[in-house]
Amino acid sequence: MSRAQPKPANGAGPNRTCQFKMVLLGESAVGKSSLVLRFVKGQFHEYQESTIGAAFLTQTVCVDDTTVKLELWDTAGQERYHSLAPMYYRGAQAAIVVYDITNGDTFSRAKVWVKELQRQAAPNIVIALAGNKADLAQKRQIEIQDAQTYAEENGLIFMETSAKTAMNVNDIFMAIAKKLPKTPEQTRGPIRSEPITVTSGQTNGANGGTCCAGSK
Amino acid sequence: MKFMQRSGSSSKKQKAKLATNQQQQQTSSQITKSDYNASVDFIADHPGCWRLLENEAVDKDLVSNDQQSNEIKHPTIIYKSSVFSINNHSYTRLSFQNYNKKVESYMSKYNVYNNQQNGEDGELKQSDEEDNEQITDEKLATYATLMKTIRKKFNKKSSSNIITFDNSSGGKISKRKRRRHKKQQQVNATLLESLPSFSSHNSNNEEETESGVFLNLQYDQEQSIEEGKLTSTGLISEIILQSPVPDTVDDEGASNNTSYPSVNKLVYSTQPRMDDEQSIITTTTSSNEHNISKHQNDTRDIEESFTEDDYEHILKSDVKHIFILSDNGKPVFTRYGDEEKLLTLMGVMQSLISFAEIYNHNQLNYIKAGRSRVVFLHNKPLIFILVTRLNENYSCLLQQLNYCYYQIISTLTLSRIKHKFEAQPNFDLRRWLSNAEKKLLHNIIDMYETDHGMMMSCAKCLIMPLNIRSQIGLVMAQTIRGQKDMIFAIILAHGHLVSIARLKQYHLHPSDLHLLINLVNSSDAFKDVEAWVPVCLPRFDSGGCLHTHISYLDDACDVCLILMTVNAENFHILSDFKQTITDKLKKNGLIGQIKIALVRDRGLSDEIGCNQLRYFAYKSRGLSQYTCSKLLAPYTTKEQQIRLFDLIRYIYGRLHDPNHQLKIIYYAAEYESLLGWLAPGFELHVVFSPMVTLDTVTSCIDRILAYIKREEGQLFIMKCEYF
Repeated sequence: MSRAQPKPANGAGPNRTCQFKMVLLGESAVGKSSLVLRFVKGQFHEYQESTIGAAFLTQTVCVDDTTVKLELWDTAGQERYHSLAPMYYRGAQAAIVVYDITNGDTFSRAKVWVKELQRQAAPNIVIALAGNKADLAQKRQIEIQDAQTYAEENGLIFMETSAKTAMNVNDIFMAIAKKLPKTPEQTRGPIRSEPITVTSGQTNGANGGTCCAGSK
Repeated sequence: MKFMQRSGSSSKKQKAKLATNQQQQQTSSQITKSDYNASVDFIADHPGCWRLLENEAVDKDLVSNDQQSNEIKHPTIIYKSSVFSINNHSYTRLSFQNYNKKVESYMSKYNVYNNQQNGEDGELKQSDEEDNEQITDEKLATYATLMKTIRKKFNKKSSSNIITFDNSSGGKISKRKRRRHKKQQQVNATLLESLPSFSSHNSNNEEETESGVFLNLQYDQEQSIEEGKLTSTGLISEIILQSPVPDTVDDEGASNNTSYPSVNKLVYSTQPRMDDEQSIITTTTSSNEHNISKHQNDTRDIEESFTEDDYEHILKSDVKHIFILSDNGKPVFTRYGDEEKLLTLMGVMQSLISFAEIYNHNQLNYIKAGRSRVVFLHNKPLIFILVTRLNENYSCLLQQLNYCYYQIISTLTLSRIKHKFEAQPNFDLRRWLSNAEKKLLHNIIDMYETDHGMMMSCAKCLIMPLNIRSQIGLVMAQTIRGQKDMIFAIILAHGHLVSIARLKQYHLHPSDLHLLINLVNSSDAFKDVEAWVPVCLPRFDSGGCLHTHISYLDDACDVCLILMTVNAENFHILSDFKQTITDKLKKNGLIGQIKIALVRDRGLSDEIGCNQLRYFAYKSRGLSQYTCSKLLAPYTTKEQQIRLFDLIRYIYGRLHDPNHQLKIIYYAAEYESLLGWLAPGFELHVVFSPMVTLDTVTSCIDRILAYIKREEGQLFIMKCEYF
């Protein structure tokens, strides 16, 4: 719990602010919500309730001299929500596809998600593959080497993570944040462009409050 | 012709055998089609069901008499003294265990041959009584071995089982023919005694003198013990197939003769424990044999029998069961236990419904079986069934099932379910119901039993000063005003309505509100995040979803804001609204006021000042809102609460009974006295201590009404804000 949080933006330091939409995808019960909660709030619940629909959180991190605000869409993994997934990954600049290293099926499902993202999502989307539940390595079904090879073939960022021990959780988010293009004109446009352009200014202002509250 | 098939949990291993059985089924169903009406085909097409065919020969008089009246009247459904009959047709279902027990005694008495090498098929037919007198030791030995084999097979643990009763299955099945006058008469006599309503059938039967057992039994190698036990523990436990067999037909001819008269009647009976009276079957069942087989089970697989016992226990306990299945009998949900283990039971329920619907296009609503009540709700493509032994009114039970239906629609939308089932009738809906959705279903069922609002179809508001409530409403309405896609904005606190703002032309039905409350209460996943969930409100629009933004306005997660829009792309707009509303409410200290109201938790009954008054619930019919006093001693324990709420539901049922509507009911129960009053503008339920005098009751009610009139502005939302 007392693990250090990613540094919040405090108006003084960095001079540039970028905003990115990031979506988490993967089979149900692989630990998407746990990863996000660990990253945003530094919390971990042994019995995390399954997500209904999708949950929206924000977190701000500093990369070099840029403040990067991540808008995280934590989607529900259940089958009946799959048809809604495009709504969440549309316009996203980054995605984390999560699988459970103790469950082989979730890895095949993750591959399907990667394929879908490469086909349907924005062409320059940054995709990361996270093998979660690394603390349960004794029950491992997916070898780290297999996942690594697959990630390299598809140009994905790959890490094994553990929301429970917080291993690699911040690292994977930071790795994505570093890989994202940091020109404000490029990044700010696509976030709002598709659904509503009118309210973009208003939205940015309001969300500033949310993120600060979340990352104290 | 008759057969019955029961299918257990489907396993790939079993498919080959299934196929053979199905072939046989097909043969019989074809025959059936040619000889009989549509109702017969249907049953043959549905595995996991029992089957019944009407016998025109026997029932001719009855049917012709009754059908005329039945066409006009509702179906007469009688479930009395463990026998079940619809429109004078009686039904039952074969349970293997009981069949076993039952047939064993006959077999031993009447000397049965069986093809043991085959081991898969056996047919029992009535043998002439003369044969019975020529029992030899050899035959008895054969019989003993046979029984052993059967028991072994039936008690084996398995993933699947198929039992078919079919007399048309061709030469490979061994056949026995026997007649059992004495036994039959004995059974019929018992039936006659216990069942006046059924007597005409039985006497008819006896006059025909050809009635008897005519069963062809095909059982799978791996017969599950679960199934036998389960059926014997549920509502339905026994079957007696009685068929008139032409005297002239010989062993081989009987089974191959396609124009053979069908099974005429299935006697439907229940487990004795489910009934007030002793079942007929018990009188003819040897308890010793049961014990032996049970012992065998135990030694063979202790773990299995443990779970079985637990399971039996669940089914027999006094709890309220709710089952949901799809049109074709696939289990979807059960309140207690595991759907997989209830396959057969669900098959029975499905066929009950189907039969009633095909027969004169009726609908099966309700069965009263001894103390048990079974309520059916068939909203295509799903079937909802409730089984209870509490003395509850039909309308309340049906309402509870309706809430289950709404809950499923709310998560999946009706159009989507219908679409899926049209494309894929055997779709397993459980694929769409994960633990989160099942939890919603469980919670809505539980909520119904502890919330009068669901019963009375109204909302409960948080008691708070009028001006604060209107300020909160104004903040919401002013923030949202101008956004054309918004439909509803609701603030909830601990499941109570604080305020609501809406688009002028749309109304939020109370049952839809309960679904939203249930959604918010059921999951902690909405805490600390902004959730974006598609929710279908069945009374608003059962075909589409409203995109719902759910978030908490405070860190302690007491006050919940729900914003609903029709536009899926509006998340960020709604997120901004949330932020603005939070800021405005905080600035005016309104969130603090909501928390004060929550903490205050007014009891109400003490403010009325009547010693004998224990509890009251008042519904304003114009506002569709209700308020109730806090539950005080003796209703502080859960058991007492449940008891009280059951009583209130009983009173409610009496008030709203469509056949016999009452305006005022005073009910002196053992531990309390209750009064229910249905007036034009309100509905009132009051609970007094048991020894209360009528004078006190009237004066107390006057005080309650005066109090509510005075405090109306605090208790209810008097004015809804519009965007």
